[in-house]
Amino acid sequence: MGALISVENVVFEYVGSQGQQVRALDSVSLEVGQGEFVAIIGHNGSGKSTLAKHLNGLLVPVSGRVIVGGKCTSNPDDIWSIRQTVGMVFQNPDNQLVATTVEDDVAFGPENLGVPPDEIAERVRAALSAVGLEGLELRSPGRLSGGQKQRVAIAGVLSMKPECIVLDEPTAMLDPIGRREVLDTVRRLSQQEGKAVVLVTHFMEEAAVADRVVVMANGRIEMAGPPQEVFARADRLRELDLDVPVAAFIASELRKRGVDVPYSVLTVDELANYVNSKVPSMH
Amino acid sequence: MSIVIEHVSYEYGRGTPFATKALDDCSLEIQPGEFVGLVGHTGSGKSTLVQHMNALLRPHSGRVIVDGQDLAGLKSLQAVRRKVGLVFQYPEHQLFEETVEQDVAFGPRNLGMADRSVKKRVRKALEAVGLDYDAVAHRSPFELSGGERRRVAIAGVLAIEPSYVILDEPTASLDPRGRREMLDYIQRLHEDTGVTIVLVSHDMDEIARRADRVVVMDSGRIALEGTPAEVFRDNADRLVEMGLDVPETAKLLHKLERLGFEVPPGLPSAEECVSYLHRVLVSRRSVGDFDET
Repeated sequence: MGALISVENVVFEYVGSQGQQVRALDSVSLEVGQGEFVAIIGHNGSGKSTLAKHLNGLLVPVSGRVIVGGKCTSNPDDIWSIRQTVGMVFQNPDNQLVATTVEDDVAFGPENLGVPPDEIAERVRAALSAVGLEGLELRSPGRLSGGQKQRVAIAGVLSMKPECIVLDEPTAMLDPIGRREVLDTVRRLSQQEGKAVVLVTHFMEEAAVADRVVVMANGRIEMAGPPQEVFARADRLRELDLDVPVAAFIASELRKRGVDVPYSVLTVDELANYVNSKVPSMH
Repeated sequence: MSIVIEHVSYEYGRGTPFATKALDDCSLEIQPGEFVGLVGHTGSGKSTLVQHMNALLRPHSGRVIVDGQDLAGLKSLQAVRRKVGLVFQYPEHQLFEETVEQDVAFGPRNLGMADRSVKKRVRKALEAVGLDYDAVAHRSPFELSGGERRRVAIAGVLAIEPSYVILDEPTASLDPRGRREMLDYIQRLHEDTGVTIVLVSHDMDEIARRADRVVVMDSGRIALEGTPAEVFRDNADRLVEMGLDVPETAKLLHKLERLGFEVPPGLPSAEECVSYLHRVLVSRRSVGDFDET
């Protein structure tokens, strides 16, 4: 996998409410490969959203650089092509829908790009099918559920045909059903549409399905690796005030007591199956 | 002394073609000193129900009785608003004063309290939500972080010193630390002052850990009610049917049970699950309790 996005020694600072200089990102380096699913976790103020906003040039580094498909986000001439390559979905579903019908909302991006009408129609169809919202073309976005609204927002980004979608806490304001809908959609984008996905989230179960988990703390990358490696370090995550999936926590405590639970055990189903494989049950 | 909801029904857009039934014959009693978790998916009627508890909404049929008073008969609602404090979803959107102090003082001042006692209450309310009075009182609420703003808004309700505090999803869109801290403040308030808490939340793990009683709403009705163990262990299948989550530990035991394991009753903490599984794995046989004997 070649790097689609490459973040090189990025520093970002802003002026805080008391007039003080705040360093939100402190020499961060990260690569996102073509088709890779990366989850970024960390508590508020860790720099994860600031990092996400660097991936398509919504923010540009104070020093260091971000290269997307060979182009640098600090170069204003390239910014539109970068934003076509890397699309963004935000937290609040009510702030990012612009049109009066679902169809028009999804068509908004390609219309602005001057895509011919026939192709727009085809892109809208494909995008709505990718997020599982066929049949809702003429509905008003305002009357959809939170999970549906977020999927319209994702379809709106997809219709621009990006190579990567960055989602900044897309499920934070949703209920469990909405969260599941959006997470299933995100997984489908990664597995079936071949899109690179960067998912910023507070929910560890969501991060557990990514190819790679990046943990941010104090503007730096604290650790990064496959979910089983990162969640195996349950104690360190707890020190950072992050949650660990309950099954990963139990597995890690069992390992401390000398039981050899594999690091791949991250969900309660996997844990139950592991116990079942070790102990003959009543059947 | 309690909040009694008796056969309450409520419709939005009543009398129009868009009428939707939000509450359908709900009956519920909230006892003083209880910590009640109210769960249900979006649109199940949770928020509509809690808005009946301080007369923000009036039932179309049925009655709401707070500490013996039928709310329908009241000329002034001030007394009930004083008794039942309601914290809305995203309460930080309702901050409006120039300083944190003024914002939190708004409620008690409206009750006609003298400046000195208002100040005392503001200090106490801010401390209850973990904010240092001296550090924040004279700052604009809009300079604070999102989580701090939310705590200021909650302090504004606590400053009225209600006997029932109802919080509608107070942890929505907070990060894990913010969620834990917020619930710790609420629990401490409950333990220290004995105030009754009704907590609306989607976070089943937290509800399971903290609530005395869980009330589950589905399609405008009270679908289940009981201790966390009764609701989450004995009725796990029904919750899943309603599209709700089950706490992870309950899910684990449920799964083991289906695999044929004998599992202990009740709703264990993650630590109790560790001891249980350790014993099962070491003894290589299924055991039916948590005790390490």
